[in-house]
Amino acid sequence: MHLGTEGFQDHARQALKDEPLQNALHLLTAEFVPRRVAAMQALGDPEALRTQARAVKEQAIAQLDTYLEQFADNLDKLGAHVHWAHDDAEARDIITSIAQQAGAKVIVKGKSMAAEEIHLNPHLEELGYEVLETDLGEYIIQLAEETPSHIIAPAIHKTRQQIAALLHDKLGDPYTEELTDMTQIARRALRQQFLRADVGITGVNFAIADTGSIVLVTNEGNGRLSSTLPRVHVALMGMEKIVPRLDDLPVMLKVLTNSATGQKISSYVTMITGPRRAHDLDGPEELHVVVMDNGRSNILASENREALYCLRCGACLNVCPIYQNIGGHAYGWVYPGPIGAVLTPLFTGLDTAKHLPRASTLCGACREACPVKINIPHMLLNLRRQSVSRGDASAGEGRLFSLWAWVMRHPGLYRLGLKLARLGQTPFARRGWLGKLPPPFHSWTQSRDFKAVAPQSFRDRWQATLQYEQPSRNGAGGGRHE
Amino acid sequence: MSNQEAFLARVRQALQTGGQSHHAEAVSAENGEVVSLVAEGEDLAARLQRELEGVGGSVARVKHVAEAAQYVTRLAKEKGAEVVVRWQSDLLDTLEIDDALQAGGAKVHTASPTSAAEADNRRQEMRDLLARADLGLSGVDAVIAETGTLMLTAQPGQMRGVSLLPPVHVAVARTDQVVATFADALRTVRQAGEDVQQNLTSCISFVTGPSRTGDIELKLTVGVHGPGELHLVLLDEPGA
Repeated sequence: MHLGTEGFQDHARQALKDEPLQNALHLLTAEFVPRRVAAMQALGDPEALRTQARAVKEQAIAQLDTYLEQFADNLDKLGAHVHWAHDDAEARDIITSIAQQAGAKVIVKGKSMAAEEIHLNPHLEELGYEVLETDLGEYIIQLAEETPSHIIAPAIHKTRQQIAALLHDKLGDPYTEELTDMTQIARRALRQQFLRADVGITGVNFAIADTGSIVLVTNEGNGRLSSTLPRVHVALMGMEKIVPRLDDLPVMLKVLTNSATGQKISSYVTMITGPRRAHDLDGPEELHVVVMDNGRSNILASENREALYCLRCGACLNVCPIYQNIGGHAYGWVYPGPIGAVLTPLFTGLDTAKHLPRASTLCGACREACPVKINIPHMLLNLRRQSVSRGDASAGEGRLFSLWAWVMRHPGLYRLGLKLARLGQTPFARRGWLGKLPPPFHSWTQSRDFKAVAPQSFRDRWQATLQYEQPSRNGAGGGRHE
Repeated sequence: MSNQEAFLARVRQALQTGGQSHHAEAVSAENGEVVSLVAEGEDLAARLQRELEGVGGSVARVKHVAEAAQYVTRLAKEKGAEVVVRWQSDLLDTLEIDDALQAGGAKVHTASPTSAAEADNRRQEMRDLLARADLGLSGVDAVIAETGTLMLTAQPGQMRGVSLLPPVHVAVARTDQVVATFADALRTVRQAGEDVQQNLTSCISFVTGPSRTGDIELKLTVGVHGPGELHLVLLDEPGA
């Protein structure tokens, strides 16, 4: 169950008061951010690598039709089945009919954001299938009947004690807070299910057009088990997962794992090229690849096309000052954080998600962290502009900003305004911040502070410095900008 | 259900609509060349050992076939292994290890290549064996020094499950199988023949250390789904 995007502001307020969540978020920031930074720096020239990776995605998306066709042709040659799903309902129906034909009872699932996107689990469960999440974090979330709060660390909002209690209650094993023991309890429970399962469903990290291969990147091995033990393997992918060539894989893999977890490579990278061959002693008899549009062609046609370059590494979440404070659930849909604030309105429409593009300080940390240099702030602004032109902003807000723009065009007025503000703010300023302002400015300070006007403006300080320094510079006037 | 033509037509339409402001330059073939972190002339085996140990794998450097066999036997005994499933490969065969393992109390089962018809008959048996195996013994198709990664291709004699289901995975490799980077490992696949798709086989697993998770409080724990232990025996003897 997702919270829904409309109540974003309420969810955010609640999240700020949720102590276990706040602790988890601090942990996440403290662990993931330095890990990624160190890992990327160790790559020698991370900038060049990001440029390369972006070029691969640019090319893949610019000729997506060609590469999708090539990918499908190759899968066809290998004896795999390719299915095309225009929307979420079609994707669910396709997977359901595969499960039906397989006579499935038990379905194991590797971690897949695409499956989350189409709410696959509840659908299959309603139809009577036993569906098991096998990524440890996702499994914990499933036992708790919740939804993931982070792309890479789905159960980050739960404490060890909460998880220990959950395993004890749901699986009946003796209570333990020892991580190794807890992990082994989950291993035993899930292994039995892997061996029973008729169908394994996984996502896809990369789909390689020139070989028809799909690549799964995991650490636990659940992706390998899901794609090895059941008789039927279903791989669900958003159509943007394509990379043109096998030769693109080294660079893409490198930026993905270093950005996601700071690992040089994940424990398991599995490249699947067709179903098992006649002589193979294991592997699935049938391979089905479901290629899903579900709104992606609309993004492709829009000014926000580069949202399709996203590798789902989660790096932008970890560095985002908003995500760091409210976590993933508050965003209300599958994709949280800065990229979620872009993807959610693009997928589900601005009607319900208009708050999300505003949940950003536009600091640009997301863009700097992104392994394929997606300009997230730019897209957030695009969406805000769309939102305003639809009439989402109040008339008062519109007037205030028009006034602001007008003042900005008149330097004399602007300086006068600053002086007035400096006087007017004195009753409200605390340590350089304005926490509470009277109408009409109160709607800003209801949810955020405003920086108080400094006692001396930068311009005044600059002028003072120039006057002080100029004689020694032989009047070269250095530093004066046009 | 959508068909391929309708699906791709929508993609094409979208590409044209959004086309003006976007242009992607063709990526040159060299784009696949990632800057290698392995220095020119670096000792690849030493680098491999450092990287794999860094992610919790163990590496044993041995000089002779006999030493490799001894090492594996001792390890199996230490782990109290009763059921061992192994690949069939030339290198593993030269170890002549089955008798020694059996003498140590382990029953050894080999995933030997078979006809397609015979494979149908043997799958269930091998699966049951792997489900209760204490140790999986494999060779490698290549080992990547830069990241400490084993490349394991699925093919006759080389079951995927050997490196996946048992709690302990032991792999034996020769030092001349060590390559510098991931791209180099992919190149060995390409060089194996003209038809890349054929060479890729149904599955290539790149394995770097034991199975790991950080899903509980971001604390590292091993052995969640795959093996909790990964041992690489690296055989220095040239041409062995």
